[in-house]
Amino acid sequence: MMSQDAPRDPTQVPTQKPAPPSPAAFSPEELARRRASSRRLAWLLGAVALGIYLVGLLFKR
Amino acid sequence: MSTATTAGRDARPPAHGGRYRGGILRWLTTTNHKDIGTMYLTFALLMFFVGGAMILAVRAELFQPGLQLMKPEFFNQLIGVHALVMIFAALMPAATGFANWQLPLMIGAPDMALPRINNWGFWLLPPAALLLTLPFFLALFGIGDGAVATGWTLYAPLSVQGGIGVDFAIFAIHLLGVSSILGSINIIVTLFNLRAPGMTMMKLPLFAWGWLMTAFLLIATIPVLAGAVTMLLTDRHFGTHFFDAAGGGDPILFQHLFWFFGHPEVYILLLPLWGLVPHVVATFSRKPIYGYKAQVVSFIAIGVLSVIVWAHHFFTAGMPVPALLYFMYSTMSISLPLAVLFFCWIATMWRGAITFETPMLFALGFIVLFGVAGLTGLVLADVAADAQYHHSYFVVAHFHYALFAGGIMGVMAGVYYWLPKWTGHMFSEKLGKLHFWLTVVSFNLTFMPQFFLGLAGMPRRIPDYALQFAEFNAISTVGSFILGLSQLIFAYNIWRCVKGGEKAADKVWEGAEGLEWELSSPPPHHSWEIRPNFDNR
Repeated sequence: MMSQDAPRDPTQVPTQKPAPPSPAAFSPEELARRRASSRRLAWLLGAVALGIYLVGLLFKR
Repeated sequence: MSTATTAGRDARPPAHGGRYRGGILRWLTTTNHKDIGTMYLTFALLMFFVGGAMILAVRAELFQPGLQLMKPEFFNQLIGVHALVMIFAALMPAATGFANWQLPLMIGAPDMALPRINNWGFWLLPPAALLLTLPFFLALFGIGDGAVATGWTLYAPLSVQGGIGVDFAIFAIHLLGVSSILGSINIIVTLFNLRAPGMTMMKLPLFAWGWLMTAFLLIATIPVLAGAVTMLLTDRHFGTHFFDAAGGGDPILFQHLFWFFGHPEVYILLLPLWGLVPHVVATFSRKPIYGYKAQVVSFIAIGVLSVIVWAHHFFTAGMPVPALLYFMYSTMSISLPLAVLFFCWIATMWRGAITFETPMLFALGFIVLFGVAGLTGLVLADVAADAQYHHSYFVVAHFHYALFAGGIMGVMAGVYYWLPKWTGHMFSEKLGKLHFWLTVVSFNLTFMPQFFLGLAGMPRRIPDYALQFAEFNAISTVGSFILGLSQLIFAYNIWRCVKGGEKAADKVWEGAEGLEWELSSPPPHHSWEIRPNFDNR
C-alpha cells in the first residue's frame, strides 16, 4: 500500500531504480506448452457454443 | 515488487514474427492486444455517437405531442437500431477493449493467448455495424423499407412480417455473436493459461473475475440468441412456423429464447464494470479492496442467477402462477449478491483518504445511479406491480439507469482511470470534471422524468402521446441534448490526451495497486517480456 497521508500528485514521476535483470516471463517451451493448452481449451469452448446452438435448432418443438 | 522494463517506450512498434506493417495494414493485421484494444475502444466511441445521434432524433420528435419530424415507421427504426448499436456495438466493444488492453497487463501475460482470433473477433464488428445501419441508406434509394423496426427484442410475429431490415439485423446479430464468442474464448483461455507465475485464481484482479464470468455467460447464451434468430430467418424465408401461431408455432417461444439471452446480457454488459469499479474506488480511497472473496462469490452467484430469471421480462404475456412466483422470487434474489457488492464498494471507501479525481467521480456516479436502477428493478420484479409498469417509460428509465449510469458511466470511469497508462499523457482534469457534472446532471434530467411518465401510464415506443405527458417529455428532451452534447467534451479530452500533454508517471495514481502500474506509461509494445514478481503479494 502507498502511504495514506501523502498528498497525491498524479503528474509526479516517481524516481525508480533501474530494472534488475530478470528472466523472461515464460520460457519459450513453457509459452509453447501454455499456448497449446489454450488452443485445446478454445476448441472445447467453441464446441460447447456450437453444441448449444445445434441442440437448440434440432430440439423437437 | 519488481520494476518492469521500459524498453520499447516511444519506439516504433516491432512486429510479431519480425514483420512490421505500417499504415492501415498494421491495423488490419495486428495481433497485438493493445492495438486491438485501441480498435475496440475507438469503434465503441464512434458507435456511441452514432447510437446517440439516433436517439437525439427520437427525443426531438418527443419534445412535443404530435408528429413533428418523422413518420412513426422511421421512429420505430431509430429506436430499434439505437438499442442494438448501443448494446452490441458500443457497450460490449468498450468492455472488450478494456479486456484486451488491460487483462494481459494485469495478469502478467505477454499478450492474449489467441492473438489471431483476437484480430478476427474485432474485424467482424464493423461489417455487423454496417449491416445494422445500411438499410437506412438503402431506403433512400428505394431499396427496402428501412432498418429493423421491431425494437431490439425482434419479437415475433412482428419480426416475421417485417421488411428487409429484419434480415439485415439477423445477419448482423450472427456476426456480432461470433465476434463475442471468439472474444470470450480468448479471454477464458488467457486467464486460465497465461497468468504470471504465482498468480493464483484467487489473486486475479476483480476486473479479470468480472470478465471471466461475462465470458462464460456469453458462451452459454449467445448460441441461444443465434438459434432464435436463425429460426426467425427460416420462418421468414423457408416456410417454417416456429413462431407463427397460424402454422402451429408459438410466438411466446421467441420471447423465452430471446430473454434467455437477453437477461444475462444485462450482466454481460455490467460484470466487467463491477469488476473495474472496486479498483477505481480502492485507488482513490487509498485502501485495499474490501471483501475480495465476497465480491468474487457475488460475481459467480450473479452469473448463475442471471440465467434462471429470464421470464420476468414478459410476466404480462401470461404464465402459470407457480412460474410467476418462481421468476419473481428468483429475480429478487439477485439483489442479495448485488447488495454484497454495494456494501464492499462502500466499505472500501470507509475511512479512506478519498480524493475526487475524474475516474473516482464517475465511479461514485456509477454506484449511486446504478443503485437507483437496482431499486427500480426490484419494483419491476414484482409481478403485481409489473402489470402496471410493463412496456411503460418506467422500464425505459430503469434500464437506462442500469445501462447508461451502470454501464456507460462505468466505461467512462475506466477510460479516465487507464487513459494515462495507455497514452503516457494526463488528460485534462478540468475538462474531465466538467464532463462528469454535465453528464450526471443531464442524465438525471433526461431519465428521472421518465419514471414519472411511466408511473402515469405513458407507453414506450410511441412517437406521439397524450397532452398530459408534455412537460416531462420536454424536460427529458432538453436533458438528452445536454447529455449528448456533453459527450463531445469526453471525445475532445481523449483526443487531447492522445495527442500529448503532461507526461504520466508509470504509476499514474498514487493509490493504485496492480501489475499494470509497474509497466511504463505507455507500456512497451510487447508486455511483460520479463517475469513480473508476484511472489510477495
